[in-house]
Amino acid sequence: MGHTTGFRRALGVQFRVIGALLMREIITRYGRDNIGFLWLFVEPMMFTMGVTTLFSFRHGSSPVPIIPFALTGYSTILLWRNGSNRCAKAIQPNMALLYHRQVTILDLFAARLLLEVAGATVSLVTLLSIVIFLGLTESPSDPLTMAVGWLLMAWFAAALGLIVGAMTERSMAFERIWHTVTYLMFPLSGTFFMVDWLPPSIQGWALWVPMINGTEMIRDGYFGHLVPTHYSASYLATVDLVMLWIGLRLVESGRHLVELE
Amino acid sequence: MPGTGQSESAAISEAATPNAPMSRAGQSESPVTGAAATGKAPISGAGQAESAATGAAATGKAPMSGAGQSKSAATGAAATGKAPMSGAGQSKSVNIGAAARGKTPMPGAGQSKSVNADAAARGKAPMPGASQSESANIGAAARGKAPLPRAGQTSSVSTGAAGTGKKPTHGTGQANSVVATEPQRGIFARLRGIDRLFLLTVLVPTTLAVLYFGFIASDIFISESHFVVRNPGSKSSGGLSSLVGGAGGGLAALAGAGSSSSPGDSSSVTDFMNSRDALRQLDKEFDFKRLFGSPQIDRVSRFAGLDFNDSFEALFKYYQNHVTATVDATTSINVLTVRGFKAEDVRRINERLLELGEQLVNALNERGFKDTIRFAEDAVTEAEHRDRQAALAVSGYRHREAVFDPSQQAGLQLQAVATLQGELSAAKTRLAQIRSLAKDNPQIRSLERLVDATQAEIDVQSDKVTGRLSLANKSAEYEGLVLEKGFADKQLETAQASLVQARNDAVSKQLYLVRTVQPNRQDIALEPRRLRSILATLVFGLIAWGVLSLLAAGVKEHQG
Repeated sequence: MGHTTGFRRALGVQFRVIGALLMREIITRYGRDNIGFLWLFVEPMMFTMGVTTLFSFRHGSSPVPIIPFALTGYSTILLWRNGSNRCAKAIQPNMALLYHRQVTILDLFAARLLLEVAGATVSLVTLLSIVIFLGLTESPSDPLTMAVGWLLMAWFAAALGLIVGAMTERSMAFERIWHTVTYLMFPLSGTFFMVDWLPPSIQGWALWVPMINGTEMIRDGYFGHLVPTHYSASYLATVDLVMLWIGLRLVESGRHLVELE
Repeated sequence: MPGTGQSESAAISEAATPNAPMSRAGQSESPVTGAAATGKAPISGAGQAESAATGAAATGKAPMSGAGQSKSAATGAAATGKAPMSGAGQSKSVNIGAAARGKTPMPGAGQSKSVNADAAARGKAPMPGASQSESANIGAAARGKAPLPRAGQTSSVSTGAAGTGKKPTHGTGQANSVVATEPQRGIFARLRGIDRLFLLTVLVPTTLAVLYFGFIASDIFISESHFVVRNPGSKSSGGLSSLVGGAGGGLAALAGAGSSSSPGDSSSVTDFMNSRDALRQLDKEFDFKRLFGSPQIDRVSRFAGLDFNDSFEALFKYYQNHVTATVDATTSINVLTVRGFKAEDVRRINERLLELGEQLVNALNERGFKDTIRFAEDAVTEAEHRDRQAALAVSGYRHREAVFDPSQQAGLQLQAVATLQGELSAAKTRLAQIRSLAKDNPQIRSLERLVDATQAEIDVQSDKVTGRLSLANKSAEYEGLVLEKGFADKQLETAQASLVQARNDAVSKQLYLVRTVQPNRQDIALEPRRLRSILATLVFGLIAWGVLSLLAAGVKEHQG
């Protein structure tokens, strides 16, 4: 079937384009000196380790094991925060590449998002492996739930990244506001608390926040029945889907703005 | 903005971008095209070919028709009405006419031997026509205010596509000179991709949803009841009021006084209702498995309908999806909801679960009652035993020693000794008196005897009180026994008092399951919410389609 092969070939081309952009991104960002692309996950790892250490001092007597609590929480923040931040103003530095017909705006975003998601994932896995190896914490009780939660959050990060990327391309103000919004979203993201700790009347509201659902799900996978968790994976997936659609629409409808320049 | 297109043996279609209306036309050597255009100004497009012709007509306010003909085949399409209209096409040896009437814009499709035309239109724009050939599919889709026709076709035959706009235009197609912004392959993939995607993400799920929710899904009845687990005696409801206590001490005290509901006991009742034990009981009494596995229930909702797994664990999972008992943390009101397929069954199950809950509360009470007073009762039993032992010891002692009360008896003895002492000293005095007056008085002898006898009696008597086997000796043991008896009496008294207290406490701790809302029986089923579910499927499908088609379009940009 001509159609299918055509599509497959196009898909192959796109993969290669994204792969190439990925390599370009890694090299331009981290260079080949010292540990090179290892910075990709060393950077978030350092962040997470710092925050985890702070956490361990502060919550000496938390009912939840504090190290995995901080790790899961902060890695999740890094996932969507870095993802969306890297997409902001992602087109400008890569403008020249768009002269190639095969390179599209979506590819630029995809490459950056993949990179961030991969970085956050590797950093989480590495850190968890280290603390588990050192015997500082138990291993995850249900890795699959954790992985699905992580994927849903990665999806969220991608959708958010597209929206932010497209919006920052349209308006300078949005970029400025976005940075503030990111910080305001920190406490809302469920990193620093479990939903179960909240008063019941607030719990219902908290679960409208997609990031809280994701964080809870990841923690449910990690802690199992050790701590009660509240979340709805289907709600998160729905939000992800709708946001991805919005993001794609924004990118699609914004492309002529870019091309006109 | 009409477009028609086709070519010798391959296809062309075109895409128009929203901002710039475009048309493209093509046609082929042998077969046919139709083109239609609408607008306020009537127009028509006609295509023709060497050997075949089609006609298509479009109307505006002024009705118009176009006709096409060919050597061997002819089609005519006519459209009437106020509304803009239709295109028609046909092929080799078949004639098709398509006519549309009505006030609304309509797509027209023509076809031939074995063809499908797929035309989808949304938006305000009146819409497209498609035609095609022997074995090809064409779809034309237009969206938005800007018409955006797409058409494709295959093998050796033709397509027509029509778009509309306010600006009257017409397109005719001619061959060999095809204008295409995109490469041909891309168009193929794109069309196919979109069509298939739309089919998979929107049409198929929505159709399934309509079929399922419209015709298959069984009605679901819900029976709901509310209850609280109350504890009439407790003075404070513990955790909750002490939490609130800081700020609203007065309020908390108010709330704490009198009867209160206890969250802990509430959750033990709901926990039971959500448990396998409850299910086992229900299954025994109602044959839960058969009730929910009945063939009258649609296969999807039925127990073991799809996976044929009728194990108890599967039943429990199913049960959890249909019976929920929850405690509202703020009001402590428990809500028990049972969902099922027959209103009366559902109500009975709800009722039965409430009864089981009441039984549980009673069992808890009984257990609590027993636990609370058991210690008090044990203490009483022990005290009674000890008291009895002490009493026995005392009476055994009396029996053994032939002494009733050594101290009292010793008192009597001492009294006797004192009397004897008095007599002795009187006798001694008299004896001394007589001796000083008359040494040979015969009374002296008898007095001496009396003194001796009295002295001997005194010795005997005082020995009884203080000697080795005396009362004083016995009194030590006796006092010990009496003291023990006194302790045992006291202990028994206290134990009995605390038993009474414990009974009172236990009574005040009794729980009651109070139904605040009785299980209801729905007379019509409110679920499944059919229309809503279908709509949700459609909306989801559309969003998924939107996402996937945008992604697919993104991929296809890499072609060529």
